[in-house]
Amino acid sequence: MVKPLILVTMGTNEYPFTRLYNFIKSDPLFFDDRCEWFVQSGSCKTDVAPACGVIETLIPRSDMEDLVRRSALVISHCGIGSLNLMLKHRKRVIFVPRVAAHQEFSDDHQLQIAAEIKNRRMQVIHPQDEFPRLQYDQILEDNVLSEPVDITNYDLARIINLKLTG
Amino acid sequence: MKRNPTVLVIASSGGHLTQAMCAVSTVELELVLVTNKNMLEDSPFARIHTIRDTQTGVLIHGLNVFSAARLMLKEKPSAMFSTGGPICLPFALLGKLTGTRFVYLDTMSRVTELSNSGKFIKKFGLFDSFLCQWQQTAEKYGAEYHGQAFDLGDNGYQ
Repeated sequence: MVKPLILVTMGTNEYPFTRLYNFIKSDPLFFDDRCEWFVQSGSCKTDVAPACGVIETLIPRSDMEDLVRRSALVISHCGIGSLNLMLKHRKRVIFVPRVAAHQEFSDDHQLQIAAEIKNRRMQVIHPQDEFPRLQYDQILEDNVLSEPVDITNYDLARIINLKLTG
Repeated sequence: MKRNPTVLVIASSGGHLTQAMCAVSTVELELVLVTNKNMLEDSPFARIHTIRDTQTGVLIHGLNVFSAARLMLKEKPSAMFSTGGPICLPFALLGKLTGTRFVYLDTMSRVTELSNSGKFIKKFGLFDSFLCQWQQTAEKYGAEYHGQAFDLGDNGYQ
């Protein structure tokens, strides 16, 4: 049986997201080889690897898209690029917004965008929240590949086109 | 030989670039990207240039004015489009000075106020069109609002 993939993504910005790394490495599933992990760590320093899987700092966009497509669960910072990918691939996601109080960004805009997420399969972990214990059975249940959906707003794109070419 | 008209797209890697790619998805002119880190393999861009990135580094922004001028001389864009971040500032300035059309879409990630780059471009009038992706914020700053680069809704989730 193919192991379900848990993808962790911290984005491309220069602020380390140590709190998210500490969350995942404190979860027993990080050391459980029934799951495969891929951790895109950005500028976060890491000291422990998962039982099964790899940690990479940055990867090409196409590789990230393929990992999202194959993943059963995504754990992500609340960046707009990540949100776009997860919506496109209809994934179950645990979003952890970066906050300035922990030196994870220069401001709290990720909390603002997190407040706009209305999707039932997307959970937001606020700074005061505990990180939820990951459940293997739930992850196994979510281990599905689905066709991506096109979520581009073509009405806006047509207006931009007119402004650039009209 | 006369070149095809080119649109210079300026967007930092990550979310800014994702939004830019949605926003220019119906543009049929040649698209050339300027970004800070090239993480793209397949892309709609004919060419990709990288430029130094900084938030508030005045020296880097100053050097980037020369890099931007060189890129604009090389690419001779008919128009420029940006979703930020700060790497777009020299292009907005040179757009104003050279009369090259500059269309700016402030990032969706700033919900209740403009990004710092957006505030700078708005304050100094360095744009031909200025769009914001949140209606209330657009009204607050006198920007155009035509929706968001992509749909934040349920998108057929089960």
